[in-house]
Amino acid sequence: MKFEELKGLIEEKVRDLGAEVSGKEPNVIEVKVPREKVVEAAMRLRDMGFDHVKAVTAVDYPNERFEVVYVSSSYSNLDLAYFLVNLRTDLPYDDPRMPSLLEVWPSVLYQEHEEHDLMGIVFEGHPRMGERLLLPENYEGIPPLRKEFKVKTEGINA
Amino acid sequence: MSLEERELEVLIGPQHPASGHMRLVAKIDGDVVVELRPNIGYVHRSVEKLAEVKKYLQIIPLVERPSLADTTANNLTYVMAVEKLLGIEPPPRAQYLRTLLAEINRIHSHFYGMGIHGVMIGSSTAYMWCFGDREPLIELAQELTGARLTYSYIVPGGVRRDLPQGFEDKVEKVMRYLENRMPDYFDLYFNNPVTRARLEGVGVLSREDAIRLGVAGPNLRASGVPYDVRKVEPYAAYPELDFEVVTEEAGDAFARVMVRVREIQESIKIIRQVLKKIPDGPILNEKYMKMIPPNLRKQVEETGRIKFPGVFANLRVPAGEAIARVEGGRGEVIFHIVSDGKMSPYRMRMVTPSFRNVILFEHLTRGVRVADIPAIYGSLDYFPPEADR
Amino acid sequence: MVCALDGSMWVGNLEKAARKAAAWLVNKTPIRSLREWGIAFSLWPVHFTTACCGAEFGASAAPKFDTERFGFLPFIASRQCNVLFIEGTLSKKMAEAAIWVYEQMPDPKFVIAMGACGIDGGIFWNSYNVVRPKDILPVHVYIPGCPPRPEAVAQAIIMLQRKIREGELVTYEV
Ligand code: SF4
Repeated sequence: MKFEELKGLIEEKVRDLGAEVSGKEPNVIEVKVPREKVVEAAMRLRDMGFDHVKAVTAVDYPNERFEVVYVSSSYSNLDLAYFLVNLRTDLPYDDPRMPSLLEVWPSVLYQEHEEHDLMGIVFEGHPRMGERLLLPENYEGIPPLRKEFKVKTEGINA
Repeated sequence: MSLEERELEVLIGPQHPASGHMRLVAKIDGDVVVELRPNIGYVHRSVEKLAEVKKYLQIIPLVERPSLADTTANNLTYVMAVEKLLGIEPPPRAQYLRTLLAEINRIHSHFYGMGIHGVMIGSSTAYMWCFGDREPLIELAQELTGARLTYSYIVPGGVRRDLPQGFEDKVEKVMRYLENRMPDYFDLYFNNPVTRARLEGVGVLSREDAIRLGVAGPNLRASGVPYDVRKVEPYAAYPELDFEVVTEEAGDAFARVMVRVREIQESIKIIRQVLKKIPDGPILNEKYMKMIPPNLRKQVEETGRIKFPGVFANLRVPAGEAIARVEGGRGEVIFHIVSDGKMSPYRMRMVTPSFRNVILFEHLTRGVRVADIPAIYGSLDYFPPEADR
Repeated sequence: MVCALDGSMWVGNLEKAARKAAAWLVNKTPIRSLREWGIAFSLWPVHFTTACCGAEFGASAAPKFDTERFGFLPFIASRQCNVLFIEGTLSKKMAEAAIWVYEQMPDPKFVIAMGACGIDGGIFWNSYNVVRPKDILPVHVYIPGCPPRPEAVAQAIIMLQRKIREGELVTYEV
């Protein structure tokens, strides 16, 4: 399948959700949706054959927003496997919650949990919210991956 | 008695004979596991956070550490992601050298996994053999790169060293040794009735579940999904090489081990092709070659070892985002780098195959006997530091 | 109290005296050196992998380097072991476990910290989740390197043996 062709196909599928579709040659397609529509968009992508999530990345832009990126691709359809579809959504900085995509993609179980643990994003509907995954049980304070959490550095500009 | 009353919670680890730095919390009813929850994070060292305060070149050793037995995969993925942002391509010879090291690493990583699996199911002979046969490959890698495990061989724009003299012969010797050795493994281990009884039909992962759970690497291919990044999105020199994607249909612990064994045989094939086809030429992108001062450059040309000038450490990467994936020994490694044009990444997401396979501990152990837990654990080739990062 | 045959009477705690005598005897040269020789060649590290250095530790127990020739064989349970081998970084979660394992081991017990991480955090020195082993355990031997080569592991074992045989580490008291 061709890049442009697939991009057009995805655009058609998710247009009514208010999604912005863009692409980066040769194989990355970006789909940006508002957080209310993210489950619906994920379902449509899954039905197209993007059956698993490779990575869930949460990015912190201090005092502005959080961005959550689901990098999905296909195992069952090897034509699609070449492409990565990034499903993105923005969350407001003071209210970082979004619906969990666990129902759509079971493969996000640990990845969402990790972003919850380290970045403090709440995935509503995920059964393990509030539990620790990688950090010690008694960890308190700001989630370590946020920019306001500072680690020691060496030198002046390292 | 009701099930709740009969249920017993057993904590396995983090200090347990199966040599792993994780805890398994199992709810058991008699001898049968009702539910098992991996409790990970015992080796969490915050690689993603530390990457945000280190320079791009300093991150290369950092990302290698989490999966010490399979460092090339992480190294290569990270560098590929950075190269995508920089918009540079390594020269063909460097691509072949990368492939060469990646395959050597794949073989010894598979031996590592099989050896640990041997310990877990109580076959110390398998451990001794696998770890012993891993050594010649480590020696090869050491000759090529200078280190036993932590190579840091792949740098943006190319590789650090050229082939040493007489390397081809040594590789050929090792490959022949391995080929002669493989039948012994079958005699002693894989066709051993005890091994078969412990592995066959244990921890069966169906094709649908493997896809649904997003499993990676040999564990995925053992369930009959022919997904291999080397074929799907070829990188380095793989487009020019001829090899097959190894799959098995059964999806049980034995199939997972068999995929590794057969991948070793494929890797031997690939290594031979690489050494036959490797083109002559530079091993570092021209743009960076020019940055090396002339007197050093002469030395580089004579010895085949790249010496970087100090300015290279302050490599700046243009703003943007890049995702790279590579098929490592344990499976698909993903790096997602968000750069803001500074000297360190703004956000670096590193998803390792072991982390994606943690989910299998929950899934595969439901309803198995307690004694099968190590057999399943071992067959996943799970490396806790890699999962926890 | 003990009455001797000749009618004299010795006052004291017999058990304590016997222990003292035993301690004296065991600390005397032939027995003492025999004992230390025995300890030095029966080092049983517990299976306790803490981080990535475990890969090289595994290699050092395997055929090529074979640390078993020093009487050094990894064993399963902490109750039967006397060496705690910290294989690399100790995370906060793991540090707790390390203390439990250490406390369960019978005396005399030794601690070897492997890798740059075992000394001062190594490449992860500024991570928020690491603990330096020397802050929580008495470490007897450090092995520098990241990861240390298996030869270095062997050398650490020899160093520990030498320390034991010099009589620094093991004391036998009442
Ligand atoms: S010293 Fe190096 S190899 Fe050892 S645990 Fe630390 S980072 Fe890993």
